[in-house]
Amino acid sequence: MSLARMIAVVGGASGIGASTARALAAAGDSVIILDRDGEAAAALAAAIGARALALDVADADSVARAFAALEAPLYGLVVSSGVVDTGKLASLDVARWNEILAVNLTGVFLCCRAAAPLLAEGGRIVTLSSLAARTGGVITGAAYAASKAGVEALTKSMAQELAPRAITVNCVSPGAIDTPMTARHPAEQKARYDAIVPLRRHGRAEEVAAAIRFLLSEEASYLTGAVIPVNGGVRMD
Amino acid sequence: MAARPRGDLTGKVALVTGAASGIGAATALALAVRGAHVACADIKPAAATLEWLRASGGSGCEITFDLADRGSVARAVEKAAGEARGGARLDILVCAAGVGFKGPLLAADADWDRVVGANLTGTFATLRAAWPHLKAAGQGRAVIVTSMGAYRGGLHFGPEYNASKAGLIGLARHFALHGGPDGIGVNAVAPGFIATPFVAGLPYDADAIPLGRLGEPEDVAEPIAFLCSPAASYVTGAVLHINGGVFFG
Repeated sequence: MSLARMIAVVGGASGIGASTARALAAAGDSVIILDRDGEAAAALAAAIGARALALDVADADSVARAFAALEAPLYGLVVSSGVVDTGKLASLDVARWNEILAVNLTGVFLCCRAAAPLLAEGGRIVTLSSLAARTGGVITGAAYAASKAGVEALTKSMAQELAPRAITVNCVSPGAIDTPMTARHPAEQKARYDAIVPLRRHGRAEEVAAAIRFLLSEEASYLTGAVIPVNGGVRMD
Repeated sequence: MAARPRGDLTGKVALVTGAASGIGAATALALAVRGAHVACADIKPAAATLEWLRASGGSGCEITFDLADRGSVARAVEKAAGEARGGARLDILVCAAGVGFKGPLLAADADWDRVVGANLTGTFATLRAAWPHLKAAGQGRAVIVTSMGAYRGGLHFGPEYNASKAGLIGLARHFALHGGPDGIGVNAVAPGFIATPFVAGLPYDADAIPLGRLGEPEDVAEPIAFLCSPAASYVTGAVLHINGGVFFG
């Protein structure tokens, strides 16, 4: 029996990150939950037998401190942190734009840069993009779409850079998923959306976590720089 | 090496075309070790594949068919579905059968017709024959094996091969769109350079592959098995690029 794989899940205290942390812990992985909400991270960690660390991905020092507390070798890094924003061009001021890019794009870069030296040969990085990266976003706005498109390009760049160490870097791009975030959307709006989804429903966080788990697996070792859409077929590219 | 995930396809009936060798054979094994009963279809004898999956604790059967013959395709699908206990059923279809050869840019009519007729028309015929079964299965899954050449053109095979593989992507998406309301997932994989008998002897440059090695059939078979599993229940109309980082889609 091999040793437990050590996997860090950034943004692991809620939503897709929490689902992923739960699934990994249940499968016997050694999970570290890193989240801005240190209390929520600690509570989930206690419930699933994981470790928790507080960090703010928008703050380079905070990211450096959090990863300095981890021991090599790390098998995997999942970066699922992010903020949603609906601001369109006309209503988006530069401070808000910078804030969204800092969390959704620069935050991913900072976490990956900090984790890379700790990753074992043959390790894994999985990033989270969004349908909005390809569609420009329906409900979400300009900064959100741009940040998520940036994550896909960052993923491909890192895939090339880390390939010589057999570290794969892939991305999961969810469509509309039932999370506390989308629960706030009006029911009628959700129904309109579901009508255009071939599978006729929102996805579940567990279904996104399942794709992340696959990319973390030994079996996915020849995929790198790939994006797996988990969107019920609403966008096929 | 982590233990292979087992059991999540227990009770499912699968048909894998092109199962005598390469990606098809590895896929048949990957599905069988997860508990599916796998019909291994090929124009060549698939006895070795069957032996391999039985030795791994799996079950299946062998079907001889010709992808270029629509009648043969339909009979193969019915034979596979007939393997189910308690009435014909097919839960999983993997279309890995195909032909290709190194040919000129200005392909001859006969070569064009033969390759497009098998790869594109034959795969359509397979999907068409399997469709009522996949629909009845409730959570039917289909995976079509296309190629990186569909996106980039190909160094080795002729235009008829890459055009046929590009056509398969439209085919997969069309069936994904229309199968969604019935809960059917249809996806594709686009392998890069994979060490199979299909490409044996063709030159490749490992330095041009970021991960530094040719893919193995298992490198494609495992992602296919993922797409056939409940874990991929919200994934449809997708193309997974499996190429070691050569091309990102």
